Amino acid sequence: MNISAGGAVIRTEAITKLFGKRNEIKAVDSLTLEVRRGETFGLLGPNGSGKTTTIRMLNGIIRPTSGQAWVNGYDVLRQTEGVKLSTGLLAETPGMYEKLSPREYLEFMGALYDVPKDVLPRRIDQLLSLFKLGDRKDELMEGYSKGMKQKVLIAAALVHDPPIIFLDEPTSALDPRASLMVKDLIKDLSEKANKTMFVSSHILSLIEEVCDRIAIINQGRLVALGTATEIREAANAMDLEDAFMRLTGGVDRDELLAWRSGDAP
Amino acid sequence: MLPKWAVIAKYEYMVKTSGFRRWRYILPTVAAFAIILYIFILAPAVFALFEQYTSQFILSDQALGFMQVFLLVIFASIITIPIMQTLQDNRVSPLEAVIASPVRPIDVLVGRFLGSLPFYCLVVVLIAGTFLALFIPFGMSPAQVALSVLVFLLVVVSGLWIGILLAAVLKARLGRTPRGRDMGQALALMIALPLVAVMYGIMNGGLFDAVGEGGSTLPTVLWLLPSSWGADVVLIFLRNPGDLSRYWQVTVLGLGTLMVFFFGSLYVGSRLSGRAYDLEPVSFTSPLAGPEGRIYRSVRAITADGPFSVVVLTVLKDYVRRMENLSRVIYILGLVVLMEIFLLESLPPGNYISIALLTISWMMAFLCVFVVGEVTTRGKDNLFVYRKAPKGETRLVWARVVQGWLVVLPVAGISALVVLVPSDTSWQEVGAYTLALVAISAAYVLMSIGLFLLSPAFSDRPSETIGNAIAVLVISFLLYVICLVLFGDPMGIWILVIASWLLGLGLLAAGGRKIRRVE
Repeated sequence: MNISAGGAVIRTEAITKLFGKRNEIKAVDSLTLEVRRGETFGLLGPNGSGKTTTIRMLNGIIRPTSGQAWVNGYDVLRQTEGVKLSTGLLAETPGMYEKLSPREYLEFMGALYDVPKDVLPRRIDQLLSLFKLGDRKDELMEGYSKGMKQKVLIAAALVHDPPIIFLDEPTSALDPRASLMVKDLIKDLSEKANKTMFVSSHILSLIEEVCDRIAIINQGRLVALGTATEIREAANAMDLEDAFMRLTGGVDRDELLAWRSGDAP
Repeated sequence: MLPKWAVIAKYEYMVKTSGFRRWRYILPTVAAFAIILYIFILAPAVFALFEQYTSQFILSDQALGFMQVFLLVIFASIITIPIMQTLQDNRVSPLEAVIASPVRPIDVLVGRFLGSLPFYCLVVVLIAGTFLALFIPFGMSPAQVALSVLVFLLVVVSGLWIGILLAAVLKARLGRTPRGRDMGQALALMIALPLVAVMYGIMNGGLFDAVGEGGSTLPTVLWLLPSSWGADVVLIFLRNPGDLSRYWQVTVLGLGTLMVFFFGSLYVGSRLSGRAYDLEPVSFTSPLAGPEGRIYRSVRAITADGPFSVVVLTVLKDYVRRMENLSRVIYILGLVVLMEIFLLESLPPGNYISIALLTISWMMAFLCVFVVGEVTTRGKDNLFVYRKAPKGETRLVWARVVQGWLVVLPVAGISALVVLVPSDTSWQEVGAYTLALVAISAAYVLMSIGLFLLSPAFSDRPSETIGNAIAVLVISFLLYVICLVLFGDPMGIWILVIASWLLGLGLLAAGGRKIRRVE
């Protein structure tokens, strides 16, 4: 087992991921970063910037084309089993068996991660009641709203009680009440359960509120790393949104309504 | 500005012609010209060679029965196809988009109907023209041919309108709840079984005899359908070539009733169109997952009641709770029974076993495609759920194998008994052949999973699904024929068991390797 440097539970060294028959698409480009134990780390970036690819590499789902990475001390290239047992993942577009009830789905996920049979039922009940799904635990998920499905998927990421949890767009489909609950959950898992949280989201306020440190990537490259304040100051911006737009290149506001007058921007 | 129904029809046509967009506007003209040339010149020249047979046929009692069945099949197919296509697509969002836009339901129905019409007309005119061209050498006048084609077209437009209307009503009814959408997809397949029965009846020849017999009740039933009214008109032309005047009253009556039926169905459809696009929820009750019954408990016990058994049960529950999947199993069993009734029963005793087993083994290969072909159709995201877990892909592959066996093997056993028990074979042989067919089907499950992993189909209707399905069917057919030709019966059957297992295991291993590398 390779030991990560300085208490870092996630460490990447110039990981790169290329796609395409001739490796012509560079999804992630020499990304180097560290996430410390117990930290809540935010990954920001526009659509297609490589956030999901980064998360997939760090969960042992796809292999980096070059570079190295360690998760909880396990090499993502050579020790994928250790990586997978160390992490829980809420994927952005998760595959889900909608013909199952949430209780059955969590039982399935628990089995995939070899959660002991004497522990699993109690843990499932606790997770379902935490997410206020206890009274609907036997309904098939096909009838659930997006928010309810998202809650089940978050519960599934927690069912084997991993030390590191990856949440890819955790509140994108949730109503304000559920979003608040997820925010509180992220904080509690980090502060009280000492979990390391790796959160990717488009919602800047969520990242700013819950994350200790933030990385911003654009076109696969790291363009900023630090606390929200450090990033704002480095970009000479008023707030995180302004900094994000400056660092990733936004649309000029005058362009937004130009189509109505017929004037080319 | 174009009326709304015309806009919808235009875009329906554009969607359907997107594969050959350069020629979409000249296609109707070119097609009409080609068809006229074919019906009046090319086909009659070829069919003049078969004059003797056709003249005997027209004078026979079977002619009326044939015409009735011929038009019935066209009428029923034209109704069925839009219903099947609509129900297979279980998305409600297109309906929501329609409701949200300022169009009336009748505009949508008429637009869809007109947009689809050219293709159905083209196919049916080609079929009708080929049939009619057989009789042009006997002196059928161009007017009689044109009126006969008109009869076919009236049958088609009526059928298509009814099909599109029923499809819309069913879609709106069933699309409101998850259970309803499930039922819709199940119905989409089951609806084809009666048509298959008619087709097998035609292939066997017994249906024509039944329709031709005066005392049979079948003709009375058929006379209620517009296809039979049209058949009567066409048959008068065939029996009186070149003479349009002798039975003009019957001709006018036949064409008139067909037109009244069509315009009547248009009127009724316009009155029902409001219901066709009603998405008001009818129920808010969600389907519940019941406690595990005896079958699930047995599966749990067979698979050692550990984490792997949970994975097997998960894929099995997900499979069984989709009515579409169960309908496929029933569909295959229905096909086996229909084949036994209409086709296999009349085989000579010497060839019965080998042909019956070939047919059933081929049907099982077909079922395997249905059952395990969806191994990757939920997309990469579903695959990644397994990949995220330690040894997840291995568990997925073996869980799919067990699930495939649990569904396919009982059907294989029942199907073998359906065709073997009526034969004059001893009970020992029936048992041995049934066992062999079950073993072959088990190997086909491995082979199908292997192929679908080697060339994964990550969406519902990709080309890979069709390619894999063809590969499974071709391999199973060739394996059977090669083994039987080289080793004869029964040794060839047992060699087939070994060969299909070896091939199945090889493909499964290759597929397993491939799926671990997919990104």
